[in-house]
Order: sequence, then structure tokens, then C-alpha cells
Amino acid sequence: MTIETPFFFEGAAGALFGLLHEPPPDGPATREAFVFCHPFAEEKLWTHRTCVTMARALALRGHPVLRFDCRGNGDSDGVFPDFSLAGALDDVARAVEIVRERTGRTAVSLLGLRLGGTIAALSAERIPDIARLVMWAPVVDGGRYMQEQLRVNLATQLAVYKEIRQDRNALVATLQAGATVNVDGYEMAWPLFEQLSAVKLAATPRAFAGPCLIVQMDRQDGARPLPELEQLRAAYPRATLALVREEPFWKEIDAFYERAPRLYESTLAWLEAA
Amino acid sequence: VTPSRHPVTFVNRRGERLVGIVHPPAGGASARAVLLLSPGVKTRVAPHRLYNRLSDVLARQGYWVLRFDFYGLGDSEGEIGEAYLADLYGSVSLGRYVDDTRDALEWMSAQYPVTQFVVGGLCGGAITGLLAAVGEPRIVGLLGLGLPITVDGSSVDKVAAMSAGQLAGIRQGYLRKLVDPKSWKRLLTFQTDLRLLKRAFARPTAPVPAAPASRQSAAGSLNPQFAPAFFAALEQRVQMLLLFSEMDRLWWEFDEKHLRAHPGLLERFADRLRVDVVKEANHIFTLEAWQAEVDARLAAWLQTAFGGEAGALAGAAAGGDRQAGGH
Repeated sequence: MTIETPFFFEGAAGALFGLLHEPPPDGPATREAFVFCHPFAEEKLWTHRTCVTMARALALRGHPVLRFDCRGNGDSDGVFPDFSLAGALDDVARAVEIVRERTGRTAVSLLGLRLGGTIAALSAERIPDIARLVMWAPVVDGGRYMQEQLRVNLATQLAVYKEIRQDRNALVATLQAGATVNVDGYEMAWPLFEQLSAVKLAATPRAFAGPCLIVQMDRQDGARPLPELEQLRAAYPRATLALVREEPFWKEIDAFYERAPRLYESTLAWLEAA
Repeated sequence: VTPSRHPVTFVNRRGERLVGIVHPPAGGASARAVLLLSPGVKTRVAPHRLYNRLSDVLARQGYWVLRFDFYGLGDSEGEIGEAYLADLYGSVSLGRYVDDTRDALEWMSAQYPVTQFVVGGLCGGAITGLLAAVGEPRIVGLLGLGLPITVDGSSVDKVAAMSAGQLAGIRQGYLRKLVDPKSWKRLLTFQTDLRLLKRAFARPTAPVPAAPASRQSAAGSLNPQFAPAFFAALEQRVQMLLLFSEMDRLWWEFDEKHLRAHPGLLERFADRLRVDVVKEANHIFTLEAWQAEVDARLAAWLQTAFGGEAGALAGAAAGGDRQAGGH
């Protein structure tokens, strides 16, 4: 059995909740620990169990894994308007320090899912000595992703009021004026919107020089690589793009996604080979 | 770091370690706790961190709060066998996590000076709390947000079990689509759910005739455990706050298939049953205004049902000091 310890640790803006998965005492031990970066808002909740089971799989292979909640998310301090890209990058840096302190591992790799993949990618360029980077279905175009969140708000307006009372422009003006916009119950603030809207991961060469795995997930076998993920792969000096068949388990689907076997298999095979 | 809330783990009767967060009450000594039970798969924080917010409200009112992950969900140990979410939800409605709830209650009783409990939460958390309350004298209150009275499942005939309210909404949707050429194309190419279309327009708009209590289990996908547990808990004098969202099928089902099936219910149990509806709200209380209304109604109910001294119930906790609600 892996050892799992929930705890709070001090972040720059308050207490952050983390759960450390450690290898069984009598199991294999590696020198490399992982920090997981979680997805955005409800995507975080839909994917929670899948991240837990992956963390357990890594711990069984000797890797300590720290899963944690950024400020304003999960069990961490703060409210959702506190969540910004800049704040998330600070929180990831702190989590990397914590996993180094608590496990004694100096080699720390980052694994992120969806927006967490984007945050992991940016963190890998900011935090010294990140060993490897794994991005599962990352958000490549932050601006488009933010527009999708505004669309969620518009859909809610339609459902509640049967009309659009604030269009996209009005929503952006609301954010700029310092108020929040509700996305599936999460009150999004301007810093997050502004900072993420500027992110275009694949637009320029990436500074992270270590091994990097990008995973594209598709419902069916035989899918073609998405152009933006091909472009992202090319932006890294040592990146691999893998395609796996998995449901989009970051949203509500019919299946209960306790684990993503093909995603795990592909990732673990790459980790062992890289 | 010493945040007021703290992570905890405890072991359920299956030997699985469950993970949770305890929020201590404002003011220290308290004899009452609230167990916020996970809704579906959304873990101990619930959609858009609703339970974090409720925990703050409850702690300010002087209650201990434990919100935790059931086995197989969130950070807890254990496995879920179901391949489909609907089947998992169905198993929750039929009491899958009653034992975990009672184990959490035992653990809280052993760890903290708590003798009485309010249990519940959103959707699956609400029905789990209701089922756990039956026969457990330490449970004195039920908080039900969107209490489901039907059983979900991948094999459940959802069209056949739809309430009149649901069908009315679908009917309106079809009527709006009459002017949309794409909708006609879908109809003519057999992409439209013809059975749903037929049912939406075949069913009268009047409410469904009330089914007698004895026939509850035979009526559509009604949860056979719901009505017996509901009345048993009321007979136990469990105080209930059932808050529904106006635009949620769970309210329409509760209203049509339970309230109307039992005329006089609210009057008969006026001293312990309060049913409120948050206007325009959806199932997960998405908007801030709806959440604020939930906060306010919860705080008012606690005050009315249990008095304002939950944080310092010295000597009163064991004495069954519940007040009549007078709703």
C-alpha cells in the first residue's frame, strides 16, 4: 500500500492543501518525485479520481507524488476570484519546494491535466531543475479557453433568464471593472481572464529543455494529431506527442472514470523509457 | 501552518481510510456537528466548492463540520465497481454510503465532544443523510439540498419516469424549435428522439394523480427506500430542511410524486419539516445569489430548529432540546 498524507502547507497567499502519495516502505524507490497540477473549476472535480489513481500508480512504482490545490481551489485558502495564473505559478513553485523538503528527492517532475498541463508547462520554465514535464490534453490557446468559459456563462443566462442579458463584450467589461463572472458557479476574476487570455503555448519555442510528453486523448482509435498539439510538440526540443483512446473525462460523460488505463499505460511507458 | 480547519483520516468498517476536513466551531465548545456528505462524484468540496462555503456558515453558527470523501471517491481508499455514473448515482440513492456516514458519525463522536448531528448535503448527500438518520438517535437534523426521490441507473427508462414539469420544459423546447430548419432536418432524418417527442405532447399538463404511499415503489423509478425513510425520520422527530431549486427536476419530482401524493404533509409535520424552493435556481445553485439564499435559509433554519447556542450547548445536548420549528 502507498502511504497517503493529507496536510496543509504555507503558500504565498495562505494555506494550501496537499496530499502526498509516497511509495510503500518495502517497494521500489526512485529519485524522482512528481507534482500534479490540477485542471480548471469543474474539470478539476470530474478528473479528481483519475488523478488520484494515477498518483497511486506512480507511487507504487517508487515515485512520491504531491497533488495539491492552488489558492481559491479545492481545500486551499482563498476564494475563487483569488485564482490567477500568476498565483497558480507561485503555488506550483511552492509545491515543488514542499515535495523536495518532505521526500528528499531533488529531481521533481511536473504532470498537469488540461489547464493544469498549461500551468505545468509554464512552471517548468520558471522553476529551476524540473526533471520532466507531462501534459495531458493541455489547454494550448488560453484565449480560446477563456472564451469557452464565457460561453458557459452565456448558456447559464439563457437557461435562467431565457435571454442573454450580458453578452461577451459586457462580460469582459464586467471583469475589467473589477467584478466577477460566474462560470458554472465559480466566480472568475479579471487577473485570471487577462493572464490566461495571453497564453499561446505553441506560438513560440518553449524554454524547457528536458524530456516532455504531450498526450492527446480521443474517443476513438485512429485519430489524427491535433495541429496545435503538433505545433506544441515542435516548440519543445525534446517532446513526444502520444495519442491515446480515452473519453474526455474532464467533463460529465456517461462513464464513471475511476482510471484512464490507456493514458496511464502510455505515460508510464514513456516515463520508463525516457 | 495552523488553519482553523484541518485534514483528518478515519477508517470505515470496510477497512478503508477515508479523507476529510474538519472545521471547528466558532467559539469553541459545541455539542453538535454537521456531516456534509459528498454529492455524487464531486468530492468533499462539492460543485463550485459549495461545501466549503456551507462549512463556513455552519462553523460560524457554532457547529463542528466534517466533510469527507466516501470510499472509492475523492481522496479516500476503496474501489467503485460501476462503469456508469448513473449506476453509481443509483447505488448512492439506495444507501451505498449509509455505513460510511455512520462510521463518520462514530469517529466524530469519539474525537470531539459531539453528541448530536445534522447530516445531509446536495443530491446524493441528501438521500444518504436521510437513510442514515433512520434508527440513529444522535441524528437530530437533515439538511437536504435537492433531495432525490428517484433512482438513477443506466438501465432506467428516463423518458417513462419524467415528471410533468420536465415534460413541460421539453415541450416548450420543441415548440421553440418549430421555426428552426435544422430541427426539421433532424426530425426528417430520424435523429430526433421520437419517443420523447410523443411523450412530451401526449401527456396532459395537469399534475400526475397522486400515488398512495403503499404504491411508491411501483411508480416509475421512485426510490423504494425514500418514503419509508422519510416518514421514519419524521417520526423520530428529525428536523428537516429540504431546499430545492425551482428549475431542478428533483424539485418537480418531489413536488409531484411526493408532496402531492401526501396531502397535508407539511401541516402534519409543521414542527419539524420545512420545504423551501430557491426561485430560478438550478440543481447546483450556480449563481452567487442562489448560494447566498441557501446560506441565509440554512442559518435561519438552524436558529429556528435548534436555537442559537449550538456553539455552547453545555448540558443541553443530551437533553433533546430541539425546538419546534413553527414553520
